[in-house]
Amino acid sequence: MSLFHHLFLPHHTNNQRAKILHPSVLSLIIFVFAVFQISLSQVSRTLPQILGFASQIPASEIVRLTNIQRSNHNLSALKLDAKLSAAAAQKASDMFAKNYWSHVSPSGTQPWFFITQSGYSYRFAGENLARDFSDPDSVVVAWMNSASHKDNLLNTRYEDIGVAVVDGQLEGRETTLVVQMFGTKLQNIPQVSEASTSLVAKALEPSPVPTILPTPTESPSLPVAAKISTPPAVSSPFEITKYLSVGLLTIFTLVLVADVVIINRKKISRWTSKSFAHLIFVVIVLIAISTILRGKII
Amino acid sequence: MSDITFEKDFSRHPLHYFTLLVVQLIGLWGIFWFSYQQYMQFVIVVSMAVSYVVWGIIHHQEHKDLHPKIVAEYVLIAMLVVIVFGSLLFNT
Repeated sequence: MSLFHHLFLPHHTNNQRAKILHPSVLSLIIFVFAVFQISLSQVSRTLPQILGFASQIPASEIVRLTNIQRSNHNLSALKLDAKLSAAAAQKASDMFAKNYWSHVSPSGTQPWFFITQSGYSYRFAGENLARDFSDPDSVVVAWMNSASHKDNLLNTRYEDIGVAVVDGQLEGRETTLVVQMFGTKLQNIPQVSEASTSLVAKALEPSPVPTILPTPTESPSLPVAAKISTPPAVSSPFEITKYLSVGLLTIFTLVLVADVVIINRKKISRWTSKSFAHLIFVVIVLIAISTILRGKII
Repeated sequence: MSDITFEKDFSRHPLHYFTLLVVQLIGLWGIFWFSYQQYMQFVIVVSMAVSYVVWGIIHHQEHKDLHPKIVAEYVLIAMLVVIVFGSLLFNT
């Protein structure tokens, strides 16, 4: 307990300043952190099977969670379609190859191109995208919290689903892309009713609003989403860095809060730097870090 | 040496802390604005760190209690934060 006081709280043993705020200990922490990060980087490069970047998001889990949401809203479950999964994987590959994060590629390629290319003749189709999430629940929750994405997840017109989870470098950063495609086969709707015709106009709005187009052909089945997903490595350097970094800054935040409160309460006068200023700086950067770690959907 | 308590320091220089807060919040806004532009985000965090160290030097200079050890504390906290942020941006 005295060691705890010595390290983290103002105490007579540390000259009324938590030891980890002393320049000597700060220098040591910076040195150890830097060496650890360099080592981590080297190990992940030389032994990618141990510390390769990999997502913990099985495509099958995205499908399962989507169907749970649909079931909660008394909707029929979507069937996993190999062609839609292949289309999703092709879309993810295209985003990595052309380095973009959008429903439409810089050259103007629409998501529907990948669906038709995979041989899925659709009557209705839609697309949801997500990146930088670390678990499948967060992805589906984020989509459910967005009106347009939720519309896709709970759309009664869809019968099939395809999902691809692909790791790669996007905009200079290791990223996990989740591409979710929905569809209803052309032959499953024998005739176009007046009601569904009115949906066509709405469907021509930008993604992720579902669209509708007739396509002529179908091609043989392709592997399912689970096979398209990259097999996860044992651990990811990004995950390790994330927990270490957030943990370290959180400890510093708590130590600084304790320092400000205790020193103010005990009316202790010291000749040191200002803990409240450190606190402002560290907390704002912690908030900034949360934006880096947060997954995005479009 | 002006070894005053935080309470006195804050009531004597509220504008100092307000300035620091505003500068850091502008940096935070920049990081939000340049989402997914990691080099720009890193430049912003370095700028936030530099402005924080400069703030510390000016603040303590005003108090006439500026000392190399105090400057070292600001520099080391700034370095720690920049290294942590940079690791998250680049070491993936």
